[in-house]
Amino acid sequence: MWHSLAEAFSFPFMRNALWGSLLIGLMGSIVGVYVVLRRIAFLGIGLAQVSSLGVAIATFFGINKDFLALVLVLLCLLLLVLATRGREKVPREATIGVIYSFSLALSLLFLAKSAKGEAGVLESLFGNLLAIRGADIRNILIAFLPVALVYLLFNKEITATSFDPESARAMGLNTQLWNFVFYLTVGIVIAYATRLSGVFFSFSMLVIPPFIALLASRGLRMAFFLSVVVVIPSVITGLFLSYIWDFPPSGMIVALLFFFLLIVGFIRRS
Amino acid sequence: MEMGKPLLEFKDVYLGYRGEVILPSVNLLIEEGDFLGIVGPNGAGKTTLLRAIAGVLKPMRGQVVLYKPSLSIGYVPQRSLLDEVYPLTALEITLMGLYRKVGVLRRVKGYEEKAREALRIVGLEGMEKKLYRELSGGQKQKVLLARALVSEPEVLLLDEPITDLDVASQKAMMDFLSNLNKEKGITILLVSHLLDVVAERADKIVMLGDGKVVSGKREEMLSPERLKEFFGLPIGGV
Repeated sequence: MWHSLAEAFSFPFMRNALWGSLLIGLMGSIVGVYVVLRRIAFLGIGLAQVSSLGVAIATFFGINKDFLALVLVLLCLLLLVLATRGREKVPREATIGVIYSFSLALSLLFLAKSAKGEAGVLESLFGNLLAIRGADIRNILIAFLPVALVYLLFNKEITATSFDPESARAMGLNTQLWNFVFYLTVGIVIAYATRLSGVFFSFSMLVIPPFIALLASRGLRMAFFLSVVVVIPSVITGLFLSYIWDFPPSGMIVALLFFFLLIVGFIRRS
Repeated sequence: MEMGKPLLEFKDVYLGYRGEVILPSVNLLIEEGDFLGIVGPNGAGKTTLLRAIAGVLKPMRGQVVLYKPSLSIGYVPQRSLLDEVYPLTALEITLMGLYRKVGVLRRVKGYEEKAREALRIVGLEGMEKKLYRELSGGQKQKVLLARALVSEPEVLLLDEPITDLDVASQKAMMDFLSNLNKEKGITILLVSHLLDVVAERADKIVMLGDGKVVSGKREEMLSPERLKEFFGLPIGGV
């Protein structure tokens, strides 16, 4: 078995898929703990679809995909803040739903007329981890390092702002700044993760590892730790199994995460 | 703390949300050492007023005069507004009260003893590692109180701290707050719809209702005329 594992990861495309998936999974799982706790998971899939639209438009016009995906995600976040500032006539979730549908519709239209056609549509939804290149990993590292630093250095401010913004503000924290920082990091992680791995994989990494971790842990620190830890065996095993059984790697990794979720759920019940 | 020295004053302040005025022309003086009860029927704007005093809600019009620029405030929100899905311990929540003092880029580890002391003061010794969501209603309220007290505030703002507590816990909480006020000189502003409980301890009362805000000493505010005006109570005082 070790021989097969070594053989699978001896290929450069498998090693790139491994590092790319790990980076996306680790970053998604950290930011995702707050996304799940703040009850904004739906925002995750909405933004992932917007990022995917950015990639579709960039593909159509032949421009920089990372840049356009990030700009569109950040614009969408700004739009959401402005749209939900006044008296809400419809819930914010519905606004996110409209953004999701509209982005998906536009993505389909742009991809249908792009050189990739239907294959592009599938790739935008399900991604292709095996197509991650060395340059992509370098780019994602550059984007994710500041995000990781933010969560390492300002964890307490983001936690206080997420848990009880009113009291945090009354007691002197600049909650507007920390909210901005939080949403900016969510935008960066989703934009880059979706560009490389598709809507399905990036959203799954944002929600499932934190879900497992929050089920299994008795504290926030433990939740962050478990959220990160559960990603590592899922990615390595998922990629390996997809290699030997010839399955799509993103589907295999997410299926394994779901398997871990079932185990944790079972242990909790018993 | 010197009693009776002005801390904060609202001069013809208009409060509301998204362009809609809820409390027009609020005039209110808060002095050091006050135990001020903010009472009124549900929906009268008690929390709105408390949020404005806390500096969380900006006035639409009027002037808020801070006589002491670096006034430190401890804030205890309504318990029901907090999401219990967060797996935070009593100690972690109490430490949040020190985040401003600790400062950005510094860890809270060295401040844990202070947070433990705050928990001990409110009667939660030994509960530090308990998850907030696993505590009883009264214990949760004490954790939020410990978080507000740990920063050694000059003014303590509490939004409905005795709602949903049993009678014994209500009394214990009010005794505790009275002691803080008398022994440590902490100015206390307490919002509640339980007029009788507040009226027992507060030395000043702010009454709200139908957009009106009237404040004064306890005795004058509990006159039958005032009670009828704000609560429609045909009684001879509380």
